Amino acid sequence: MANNKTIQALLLVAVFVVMAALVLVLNIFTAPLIEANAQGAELEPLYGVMPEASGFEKLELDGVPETVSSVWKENGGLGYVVRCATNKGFTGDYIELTVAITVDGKISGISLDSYPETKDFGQDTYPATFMGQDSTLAGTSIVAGVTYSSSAFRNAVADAFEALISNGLIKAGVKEPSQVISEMLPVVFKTAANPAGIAQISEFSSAVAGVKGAWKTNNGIGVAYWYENGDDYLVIFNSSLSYKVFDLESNDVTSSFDAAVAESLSSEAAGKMSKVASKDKRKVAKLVSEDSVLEQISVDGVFNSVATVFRADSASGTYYCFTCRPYGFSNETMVIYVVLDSNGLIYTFNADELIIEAEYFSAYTLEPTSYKAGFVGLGPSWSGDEAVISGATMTSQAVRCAIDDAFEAFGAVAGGNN
Amino acid sequence: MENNNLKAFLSNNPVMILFLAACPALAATTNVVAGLVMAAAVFCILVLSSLVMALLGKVSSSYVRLPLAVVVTAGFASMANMLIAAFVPNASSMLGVYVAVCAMNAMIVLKGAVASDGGVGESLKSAVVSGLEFALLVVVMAIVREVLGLGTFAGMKLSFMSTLVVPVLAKTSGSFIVFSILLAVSNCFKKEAK
Repeated sequence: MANNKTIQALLLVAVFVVMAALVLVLNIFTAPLIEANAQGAELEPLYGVMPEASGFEKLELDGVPETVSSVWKENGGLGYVVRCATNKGFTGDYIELTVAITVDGKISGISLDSYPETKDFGQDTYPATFMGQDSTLAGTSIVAGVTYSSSAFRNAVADAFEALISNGLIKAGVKEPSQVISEMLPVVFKTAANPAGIAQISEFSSAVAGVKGAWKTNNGIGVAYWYENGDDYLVIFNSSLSYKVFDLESNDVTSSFDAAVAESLSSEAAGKMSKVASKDKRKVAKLVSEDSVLEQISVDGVFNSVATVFRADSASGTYYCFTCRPYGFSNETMVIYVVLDSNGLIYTFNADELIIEAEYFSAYTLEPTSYKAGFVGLGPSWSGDEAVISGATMTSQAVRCAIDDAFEAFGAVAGGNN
Repeated sequence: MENNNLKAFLSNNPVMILFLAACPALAATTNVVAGLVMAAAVFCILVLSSLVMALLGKVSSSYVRLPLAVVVTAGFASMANMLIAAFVPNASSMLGVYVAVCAMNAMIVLKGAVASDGGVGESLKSAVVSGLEFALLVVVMAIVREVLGLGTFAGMKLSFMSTLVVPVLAKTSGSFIVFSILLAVSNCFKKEAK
């Protein structure tokens, strides 16, 4: 019996050895083919954007943006091919693209390899508008109505250039002041941008001498100017007509800016702002105790979605009421009220209309009363998860933005008015 | 008589009866080419495993047959995986891990384990029938899902399908829908065969 068990064990080992040997022999023959196939599949999109290439060498570069998947150098010196993947579109699924950039820093080929979203942003035609562009991408624009996807695409192309420029492989294109200003505006002026960082502004003509461009924010609580007097400046005003001035390097040069010019710009900006204070006061009065006395506080130095701030003094304590106007779904302005107690914790939260309209990808799930109650007691270190409304991503982001902005504004105004 | 045999063939599919190997049948059927390659791979692995196990039947005891069947199936599954990756790379990328998973495919392993009990001819016949049943199911599912779900056939666009596409059929949930319908059809044949 023991002898039979040994024979069976040896049989098992023998079969294992034979099968392993067969696999090994087959591997010797197929491994080069499999490797060649894998390399061919990897290189296929590269030849798609640079068909005249003689071959590619993969580069290992330092400090490339996270959207850049791989960078390849064309062996014949034609230039580089960069593969990118970005999840900054509307749904958060990955958009993949491949861009060929010549040694003189211009796009010679581009393809959208994967687009997981349903809304058409001209994916057959939009990439072609990038042909011939340098790193400034001055001749390209965001597609209205599909701002998230087209913006994600454009930013990924910008990242492809950034990867090459930061490693000294190509030279950066020179941006015109108008482009620098338009790119700087949503970065330094949060009021003028939606949660994705895309500018929400309308242009108007200014009567002030030296102004080369003037915009009011779509939520009605901010105005920005491109002012030029030999040097170019971006001047931004918030709803309290507090202002900041930046040079083209994004340096804050407010203190050295001509005060008389600032005064002229301020006068004009005041007329462009929406008159929201009295309406906001009526709304916030209902959110705190009836015996409270409301006093409006200037939002000096705050350039986010906070439109008005009121201090409410009552028998039960002092509260700070922040009215925020972030951009929600379809970039519609939402009106959100955040009341903080004197310790900076949320006393109550409300909104004129949480869901402006059904988001187009899915139905949302929201029970408004418990949703609003879920914010009570939160402080500046909140996670942001409480703002999530399943199926309403843009609205969730706007609520989160408003609450973060209220906490930021509290830090700026409560200290001086407490 | 022949009609009854066909009905039995259509209703005795191990995937339909025991849901053995349902995983690759559901996962590898979004494209006709991928379905055909999967069907061919499973057919070959099944027939070769059964053949080897039937040959080993006379010298192996019952308690080593299952481990032997696993070793043999894993070996042939690895070889099939390599051959597909080498010669049909597009199908390989579509099938992903599911060819390698054949090493643990209950239908193949069990078929191999019981093949040792019968003669070589009988085992081969049984393996060929099971392999064809699996192939038929996979190919039919792939055709239905690709044509109705994507509006293509073997990757080629079918212009007349452009307005008739039901995208959910190409998704995972769609594979269960198609599988359920085919299961119902198979049960109809089963009733008639009785």
